[in-house]
Amino acid sequence: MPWDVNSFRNHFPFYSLNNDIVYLDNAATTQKNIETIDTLNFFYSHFNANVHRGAHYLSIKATELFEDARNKIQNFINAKNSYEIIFTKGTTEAINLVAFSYIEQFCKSGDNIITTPIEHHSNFVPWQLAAKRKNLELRVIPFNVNNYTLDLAAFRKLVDNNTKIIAITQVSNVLGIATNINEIIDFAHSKNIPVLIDAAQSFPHMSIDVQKLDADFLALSAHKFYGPTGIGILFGNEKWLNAMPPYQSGGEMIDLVTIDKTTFNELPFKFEAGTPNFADAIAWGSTIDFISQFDKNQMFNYEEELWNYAYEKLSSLPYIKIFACPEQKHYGALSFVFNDIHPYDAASVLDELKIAVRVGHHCAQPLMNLLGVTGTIRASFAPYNNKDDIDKLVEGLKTVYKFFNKN
Amino acid sequence: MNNIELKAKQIEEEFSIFDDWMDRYNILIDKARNLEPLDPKYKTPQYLINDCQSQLWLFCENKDGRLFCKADGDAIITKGMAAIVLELVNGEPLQDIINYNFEVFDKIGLHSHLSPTRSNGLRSLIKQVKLYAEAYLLKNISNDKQR
Repeated sequence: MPWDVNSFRNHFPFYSLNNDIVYLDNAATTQKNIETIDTLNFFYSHFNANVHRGAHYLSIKATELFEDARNKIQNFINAKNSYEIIFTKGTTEAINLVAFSYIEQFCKSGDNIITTPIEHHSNFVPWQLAAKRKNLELRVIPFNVNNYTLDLAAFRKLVDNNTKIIAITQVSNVLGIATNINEIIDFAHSKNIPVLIDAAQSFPHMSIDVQKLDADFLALSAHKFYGPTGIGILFGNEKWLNAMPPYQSGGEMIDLVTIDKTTFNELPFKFEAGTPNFADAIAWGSTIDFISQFDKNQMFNYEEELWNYAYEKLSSLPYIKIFACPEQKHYGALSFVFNDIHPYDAASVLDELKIAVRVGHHCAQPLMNLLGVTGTIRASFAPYNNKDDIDKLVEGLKTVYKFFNKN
Repeated sequence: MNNIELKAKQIEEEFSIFDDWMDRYNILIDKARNLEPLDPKYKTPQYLINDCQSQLWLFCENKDGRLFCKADGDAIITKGMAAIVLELVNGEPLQDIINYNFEVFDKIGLHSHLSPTRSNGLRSLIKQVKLYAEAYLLKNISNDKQR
């Protein structure tokens, strides 16, 4: 059965209120379905009370709903245990948690961390800072800009006895291509090295099974897949999480506090200091329920169809240079530039035409350097987008070209 | 009304004839093209106002208590907006520049380019121009005292 884009789109109130906007910035954040918005509203109106605190009805109810949300996320990514799901503000905080707590426990001066030049700054800068803090070396797997692949042979040579962790994205936020995550994990595990997967961009576009991936750490954000902002998770294999010291300290994460010392709560609470963002977590649980109603393959196939359609249409514009590799499958994002129009100028005109795309370095400056540009224009798709959105983008690009070339 | 405010009024009138974005952008592009070039020796990281989406270079001098700036940018829309800033401040007294809040961008329908989220360097450019004005003013005061 083909994907019913209209009925899916009807779940998103954004479209009934902004029918004239072409929203193609889904890799930055997606629109929210009505069920998610209603749950947030319903929770605040009916059950609002702090979790894990009181013995009163509301607190117990809120705690139940919060832990229920944790279980939903656990099932969605097929984690073995719910306590391996740590709620965070999002992907960035999840990565920072590992870049602090894991590094504190397992790294000594002279050790090294391996990452790639195609990472979002969120999965690059925390490691750079950790390396500086603990006198570690940050090694970068070479990326081939001709075929958009990581050099795995070079990667194997970078790994040595002092390699303590590998941090890598599953899907590039700029190029939309997937990395060879399975090969990297297999090789790392043969040396007993854990891998952190940045799943911020893969989560909305592929099924994630942390057991099948044999993931050690996996970070993702709710808001890139219809969920609320300010909530995400770190999945961590319990063997690592149990060995790591807390990231932040405060309430909830303690077991016993005396003047002399503090013992810490068990997982996941050890890593959830302070009042967690339970309202958004609960709303996210309903987002997961919403997504689960749909046939994921149908959804993902439709996204691929959209990407291919956009690629084909943009390829017919001779003044556009696309950063893509048609032999590879792409997930959500399509980056391009005009040969002689600055991305900011193009985006300013597209904005006047009510076409929302992202422009700039996309928080991936090392990759921009490799591509030899200071920025790109990125259109990114969600299954509520339709071919009409892409046609409007193409018309918009033609207008941009005409506007700057008549001048 | 000081000279900056007078010039702002003129710019406002220049834009008020048009309500179409294309015409407004055409004015910006003209202004960008007519901007006095910045000597390439100033197009270095030291003079770069680096922001997320485009690059702007700014160099400012103080002559007898008045500011004279030159700028260049890689995006023509941003450069056109920089040209408006320079048109307003060039040759004006330092204190007037510090006091002016650049509301002209609101009035000509380009305020969205000033929002922090656009991060096109225009906000930072204005901040930097004001910092130059403040720094030169302090320097002038201390020079006066020494005399």
